[in-house]
Amino acid sequence: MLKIWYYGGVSYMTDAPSYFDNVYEDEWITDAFVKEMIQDVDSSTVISPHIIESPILGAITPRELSGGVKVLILMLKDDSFVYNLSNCGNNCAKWVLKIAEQKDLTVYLQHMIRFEGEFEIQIMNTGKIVHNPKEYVLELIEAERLADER
Amino acid sequence: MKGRYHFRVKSKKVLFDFTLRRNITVIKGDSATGKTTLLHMLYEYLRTGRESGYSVSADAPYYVYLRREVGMEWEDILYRLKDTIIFIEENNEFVFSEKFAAFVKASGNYFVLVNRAPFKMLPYGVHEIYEIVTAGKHADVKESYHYFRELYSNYPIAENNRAACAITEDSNAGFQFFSHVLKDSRLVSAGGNGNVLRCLEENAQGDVLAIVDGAAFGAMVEGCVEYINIQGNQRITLWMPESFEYLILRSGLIPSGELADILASPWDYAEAGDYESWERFFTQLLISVTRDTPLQYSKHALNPSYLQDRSVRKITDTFPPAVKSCLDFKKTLHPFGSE
Repeated sequence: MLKIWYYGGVSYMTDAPSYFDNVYEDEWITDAFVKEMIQDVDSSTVISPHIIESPILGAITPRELSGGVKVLILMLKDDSFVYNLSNCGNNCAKWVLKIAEQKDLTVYLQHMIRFEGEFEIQIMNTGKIVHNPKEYVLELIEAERLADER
Repeated sequence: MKGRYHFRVKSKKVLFDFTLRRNITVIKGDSATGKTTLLHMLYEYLRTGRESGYSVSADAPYYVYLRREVGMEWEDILYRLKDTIIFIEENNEFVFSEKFAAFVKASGNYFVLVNRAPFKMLPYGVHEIYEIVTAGKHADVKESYHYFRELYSNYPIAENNRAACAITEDSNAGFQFFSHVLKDSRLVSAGGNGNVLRCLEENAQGDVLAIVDGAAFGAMVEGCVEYINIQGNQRITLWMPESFEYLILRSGLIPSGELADILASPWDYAEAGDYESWERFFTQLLISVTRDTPLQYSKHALNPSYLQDRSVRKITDTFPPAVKSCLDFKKTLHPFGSE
């Protein structure tokens, strides 16, 4: 399940894209699920662990992947830190939910990333589990108020 | 610092083309749109010029802050910059601090902040929040062309909204004006832009029109828009003119030869070091052009001259059709009807 701390309550990795550059492993890049994420979010094709074909930039290395996809990969592969989901745009939202289907995933969030459809997300600040965009947005608003009051 | 600044940032593969108009610009949006690439190119050109392999055409000095340097805090680097456009990459947590907000307001520099999180300490405009869009190949350039697109250029408009309730963020002059115009409607003052969302929640029955000062609503707009998007049974229109004072200035009510020029290019007049947002600038401008006239303006108590039929009509004429359609003006002081 995806667990979100909104505006506080947890320590988190502040510069995950830089961290990714220093720790990523070749096997991460060639993982079928990761390749699918890179294709969908960055519109780029993994050719080999060291070469990714970007439609804009041409041949790039994993270091030139978008910050959003780097954070998605870290969420999937490296449990050393809680990551900041606000490094990710709305086009990453469905992938976060897919990762959270595979394992309990706790993230930090500072903006209202847009989740669609039905899901199961726990807003850690309030403890409530939300199941759709309406419940999710209302609970984030409540969580932000709690954080502001502190 | 004031003015409008155009950037063309080029590599052999990409071209970013954008113009900055205010002291605070925010870039957010989807992942993989080129935010980091843009800042990296700007940084490399700053570092080594043409030897970077990039070209940057900018009509003002700029600086790029990517991350903390060893042994140096952000203050050590940014405090010395004057009349500079400062780009700051995300993952720099200091941008949310009071100290940074005070620096932004006082320094007179322009700031371009790459971040999805709202900057609650900063008064920035909804029209200066952008995403980077790829237009693909342009006929006249070989590179992939990227430009900035406003994220909130169109305020949420609910079709057939009959606005049983109107909310203004203002509790002073603007509220007094709308109280008069909508005297048979229920009008609620949020008492500040930070309370608009709570006001929307408290008025969850019937159609609502919320009127906010767009020039300083940047930090609040995402929360309100997301809230409005999840309302299934309630029509809410969020109208974000620059400010109430801007509506008056635009109305033609005040005879001033220079006013049209100022409103056509506020960036040429709004000195960043003097005005933390255009909301302040337009307020000061209105106070200035009406001083010692029958329309002398005060934000705290609305001069009754603004409530006369002619004034009301002039000001409400500036309202966009979608907003006019929300309001039942038949019940008002006939601002659109005969005298």
